[in-house]
Amino acid sequence: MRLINEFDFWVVAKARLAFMDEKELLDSAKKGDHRSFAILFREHYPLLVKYLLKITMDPDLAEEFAQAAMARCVEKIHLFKGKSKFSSWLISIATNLYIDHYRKLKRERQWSEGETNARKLQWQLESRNEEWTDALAALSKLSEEMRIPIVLKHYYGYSYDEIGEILNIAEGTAKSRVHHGLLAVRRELKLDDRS
Amino acid sequence: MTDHKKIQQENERINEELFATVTLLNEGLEKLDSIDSIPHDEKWFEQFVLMEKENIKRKFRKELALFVLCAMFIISGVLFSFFEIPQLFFVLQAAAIAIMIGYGFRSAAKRVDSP
Repeated sequence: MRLINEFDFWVVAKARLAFMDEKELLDSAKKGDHRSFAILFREHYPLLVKYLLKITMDPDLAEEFAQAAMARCVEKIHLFKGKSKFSSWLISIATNLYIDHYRKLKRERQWSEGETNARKLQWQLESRNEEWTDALAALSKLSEEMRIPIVLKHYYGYSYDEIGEILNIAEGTAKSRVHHGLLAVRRELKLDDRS
Repeated sequence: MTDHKKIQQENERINEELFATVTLLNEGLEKLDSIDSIPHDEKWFEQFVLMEKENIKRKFRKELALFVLCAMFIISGVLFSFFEIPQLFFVLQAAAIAIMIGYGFRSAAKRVDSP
């Protein structure tokens, strides 16, 4: 009898969690409820991985950094004040973790890794009968400093101000990186020679 | 044609070119969305959170133990010097105060120099 009651309690608790909105889930997660965390992560994980795939150009790194961002989120949830969307906060954490990793790689002079990652992604896309476009190839050749702001601005629709906040750079720097990044893509695609 | 009009036309041309580039990029990026992430169920996420919380607790305990050890080492050094070699204790105190004053002056001078 006691077991059935306990089971009922968890079923009701789970059903209640499923109907909670994001703010309630965040409040509950801040109080230490791991189920609220699990629901929030389940909702945002695919978006996070897809975003990371676009900036890392590597499916394995995308999964790895999505999990690292979730781990950091569990540790720092008390710092989330709700000024931005939870997804933006996760994106910001993941981006900064990736930038730290990229800087470390740069110091260790492992230049060839980026090209290998892109080839892996190209193979994965082509195995799904999707075309690896010239634009994707050009984007994969850009440095992270330019690629990330372009993806955030033109694919996810963030403002320059928000991009500046995510990357800890000035709004003008974000704007300049997007502009120069697009010019670099045009050069890579040889569009300027055609026009 | 005035210079102003020429500049305006040039800007419009550049904007159109950049817009075309963005369209090409977005078409490519949309294809990447067809690659699904590894599916995980709610149980997996729950386990993940519980494991992370355990890691955080372990890290905290480790850091606390290290802090207590360092504090005990410093306090035992201070007490030893105070009771056994009082001269050394006072020399160390004077040196610590001198370093703090020197550091304070240097920081203040840096602030004045900065634009």
